[in-house]
Amino acid sequence: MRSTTRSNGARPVSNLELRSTAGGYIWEDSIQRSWDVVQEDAGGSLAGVVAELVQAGKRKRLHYDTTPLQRGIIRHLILVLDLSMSMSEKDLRPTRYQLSISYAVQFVADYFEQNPISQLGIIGMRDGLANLVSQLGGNPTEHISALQALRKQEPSGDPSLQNALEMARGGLYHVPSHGTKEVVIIFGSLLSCDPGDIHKTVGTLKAEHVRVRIVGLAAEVAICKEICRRTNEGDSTSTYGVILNEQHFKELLLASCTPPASTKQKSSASLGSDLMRMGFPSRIVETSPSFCACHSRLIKGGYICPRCKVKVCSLPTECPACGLTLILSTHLARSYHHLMPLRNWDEVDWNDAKKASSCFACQLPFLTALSSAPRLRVSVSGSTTNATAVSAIATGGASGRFRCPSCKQMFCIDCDLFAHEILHNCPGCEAAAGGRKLSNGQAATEVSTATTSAYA
Amino acid sequence: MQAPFSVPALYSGKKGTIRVSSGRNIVEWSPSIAPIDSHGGNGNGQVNGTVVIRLDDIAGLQASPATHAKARLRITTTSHTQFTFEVPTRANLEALKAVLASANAASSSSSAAQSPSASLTPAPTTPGAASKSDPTRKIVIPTKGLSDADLLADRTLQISFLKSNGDLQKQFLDVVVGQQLPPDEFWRTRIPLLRMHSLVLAQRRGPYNVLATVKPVSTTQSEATGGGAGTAQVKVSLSSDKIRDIFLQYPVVRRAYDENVPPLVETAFWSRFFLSKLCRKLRGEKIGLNDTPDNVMDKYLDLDEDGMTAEQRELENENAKIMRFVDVEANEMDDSQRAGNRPDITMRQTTHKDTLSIIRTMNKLSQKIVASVEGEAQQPLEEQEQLKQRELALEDLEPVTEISHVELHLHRSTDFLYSSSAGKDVDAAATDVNGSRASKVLETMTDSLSNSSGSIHELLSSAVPSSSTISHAQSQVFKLINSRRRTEENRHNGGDSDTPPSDAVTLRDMKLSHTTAIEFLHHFWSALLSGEPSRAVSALPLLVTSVEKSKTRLEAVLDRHVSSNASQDPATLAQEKKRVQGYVQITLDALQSAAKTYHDLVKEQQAALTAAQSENTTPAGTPR
Repeated sequence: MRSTTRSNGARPVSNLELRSTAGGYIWEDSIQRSWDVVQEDAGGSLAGVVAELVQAGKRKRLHYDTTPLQRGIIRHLILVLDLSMSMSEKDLRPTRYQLSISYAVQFVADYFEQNPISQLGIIGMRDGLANLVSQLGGNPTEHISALQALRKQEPSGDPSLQNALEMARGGLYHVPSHGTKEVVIIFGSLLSCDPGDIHKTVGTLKAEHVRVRIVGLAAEVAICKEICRRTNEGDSTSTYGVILNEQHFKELLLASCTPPASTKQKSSASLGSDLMRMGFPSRIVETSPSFCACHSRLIKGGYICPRCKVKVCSLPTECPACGLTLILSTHLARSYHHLMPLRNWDEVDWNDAKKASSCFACQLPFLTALSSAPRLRVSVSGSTTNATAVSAIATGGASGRFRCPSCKQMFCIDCDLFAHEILHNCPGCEAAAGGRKLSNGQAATEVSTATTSAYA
Repeated sequence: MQAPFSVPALYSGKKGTIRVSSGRNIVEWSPSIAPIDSHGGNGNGQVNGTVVIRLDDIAGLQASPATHAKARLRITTTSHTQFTFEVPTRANLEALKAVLASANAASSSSSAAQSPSASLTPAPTTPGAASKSDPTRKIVIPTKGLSDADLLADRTLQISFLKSNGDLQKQFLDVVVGQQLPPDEFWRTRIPLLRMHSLVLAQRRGPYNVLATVKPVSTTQSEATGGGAGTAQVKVSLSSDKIRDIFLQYPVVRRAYDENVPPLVETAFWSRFFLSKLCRKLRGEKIGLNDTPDNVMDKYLDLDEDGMTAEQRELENENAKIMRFVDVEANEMDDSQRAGNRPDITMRQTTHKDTLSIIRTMNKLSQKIVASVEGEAQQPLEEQEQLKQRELALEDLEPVTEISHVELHLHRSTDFLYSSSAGKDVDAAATDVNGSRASKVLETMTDSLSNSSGSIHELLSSAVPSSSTISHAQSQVFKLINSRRRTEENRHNGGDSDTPPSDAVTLRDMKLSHTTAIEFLHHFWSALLSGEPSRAVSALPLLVTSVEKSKTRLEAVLDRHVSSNASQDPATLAQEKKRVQGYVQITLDALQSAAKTYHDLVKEQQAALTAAQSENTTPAGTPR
């Protein structure tokens, strides 16, 4: 990987990464400008370079660590938004304020998509005080409408990290020991106007196992780093990031959708595992409407709580009468992919490439051979494959095939991305499984009506 | 001597007046009904309903936060007695607080050399004590008060929360006042909400740089007649809070105000101030040559923001203890200039005087603000020194700490379900499928389907259901699809549009009864599942009666609705009843099942009791 591609890197750079290939630090290398990298090919076209950049972006994903780690999947997260004067800056379009709200809306949606059995609350920092935007709850639409209402307001005053953290702490006070307590702050200012000693607040947060992540919009601030370092057992590199651009902002924020891995210290403190009661309610179809217990609205259809028999209108939720967590089994399954990430697929070199001529998942043909490059362009069809083919020539090595280490099937890069980022399952492994044990797959999707217990 | 200061104030619910004596040494509150002069009180305490506190004994002042509905001032004495006064307006409170703070500071610091104005406007404090003597500025973050028991006991908090939340208030009136639910039960299910509200009330604003927030809009109007200088006009809005903060942060402004306001009008003073070089200097801006001179304000230009001349400052610096760590004279051996380095920017002779003064002003201001928050100045010198050393450590150069996470040792679901022996033939199968073109595979598949179509028909005919079953299934499927479609459409249109409510009154009554019923169900289940035998015994029987009553109430609403439409013929009436009952049928069932659960448990327990031949006969069961 060339050092220039790091300038739009997604992750905070650690000390070791600053080493260049020559052995010194990267700033000791000769400068490589982005316009030097982009070279026209013989025909004066930039297509090859563009394709290469696209490919490089896709390949970045392969850096992800796929070691299965213990994670808290029942999460309680408070999103703190900076609503102070500094958010009216226009370095992000249209303003930091508006863009942060847009990304926060997306974050809320993604958070509940990936963590359906978790809860979220939103706090705003404005005029030196913390305002409650929405209470800790599991309904994404409530949070999103609260965020949309913020759009009409204007940023004002100074932010206070201490007030916000104290309020977040209060909001997470009642969280049981099996749930995580997290705070994610979008911080656009370079100061915090606190009424007291913030270090004491950070101390209490640490004692209560609240973990804080911060996304900085302006520059690195010492106190932010300190907060992240102390509440995450010394790890501030993966928890505090300052954005480089809009895309990076989004990546840093959405990184918080992944549940945090529990550290050895924390898990040794809470010995053993708790059993948690959950209900899998059955859906009812009604011809005439009836009141739902959650909002007292007349609606048709809904779900009946298996314990107390009241009707709720959407899942997942907490039963408004008996307090049972009501979910669908698919929600649980969705939370699990964080615990068992799909293994990275290996790149296949040309020697093995002959074993497969088309992607196992999408059935589009692979590039056949490197030497026959000119003829190949004629032979392939379809824009996706074309990009793969062109880039393979440009990079002069990659076969564009990726092999799953367990089922040994080969896939194209687009299917690789799709499988790792959306599906979280390997089509090859699943196909092998499906052929043998179809009945098993069916059982998993069936909705059980009984109250069952699941591991927290 | 100053004029005695007094404001009306409530103490323990009684009306009265709070008075600060002319000597600024006694605070006294006396009821307005029988004003008894009791200056003779020796200690702190109440004499004939009058409260007398000596200023020397005041250990702390605490005002209710600006967000709080009531303006209260709490005075803590050195003997740890607390007096809470309620002042009718926020302005009065601020004035009183300021007078007390300044008087307290004056009496405690010996170097007090001030000439306070007699006006009631924001109060001056002594320069040296400005940052330390304002205890109201220090925040007390409630660390206790957040436990469940504390929140349940805090009635004032609950009342203020009810006032801020209309829906909840309605529910509270209905359930607690109307249906006799114990208030503790009501709040027990809403503790997180209460906790948030308590935090909202408790938080305070931190100190900030006031001058930076005041943005005067200056408009220069040139005289139409001559080519003379334009008169600058400045528009600025100042609240009394801001003025107070300016005086606190910049004693030099206070001094200028004190010395000039009798001749000048207050508004004139402020407009001149915001145009002056002094203001620019204090804001940390550069003073240009074009700035208009002001013979009043420019006098103070040479003073620093504490109102001291350079000589005075020098004198003070000599007496002040300097941290060894930053003491240039003590660190001569470590002087980097000996190694050939250029002196630091603040140490150069040639450095522009303006730049340096801006740096100094800003540094001093930040120090003052931080000190007013944390009281860092009170820390012993050694601790401060250690802190400084820690601050200097370059954290970026520290090695990255490795975080150890708990790894999960689990078999991949595929490895787990299908043994590894499958590996080989999968490989073979893969080449098989991928070796041939996808189109060929598909072709084979379609071929095989069309060839074997006969066999599928055979299969079907052997198990073909009767036509009536098929049509039944079909109608069911269509019904389902239609109802789903309608529900989705409703959701897009935003609700109950296609179901005309029977009539608004019935619907409202029903909704209210339904909400109350759910509320009681919630309390019933939380008591039943609480696992506390005492709570179950005391609360459950009551709650079960309420649950059963909720059911009768819902049914009564139904009956009332039917009887109000009595004029119609019986058939439509029955239909109507059925329709309306459908709205709440699920709720009725849930109520029924809750009551049944309870009675079953009681029966079970009683059976167990009689079986065990126990004499202990508890009236109510203690399930789980």
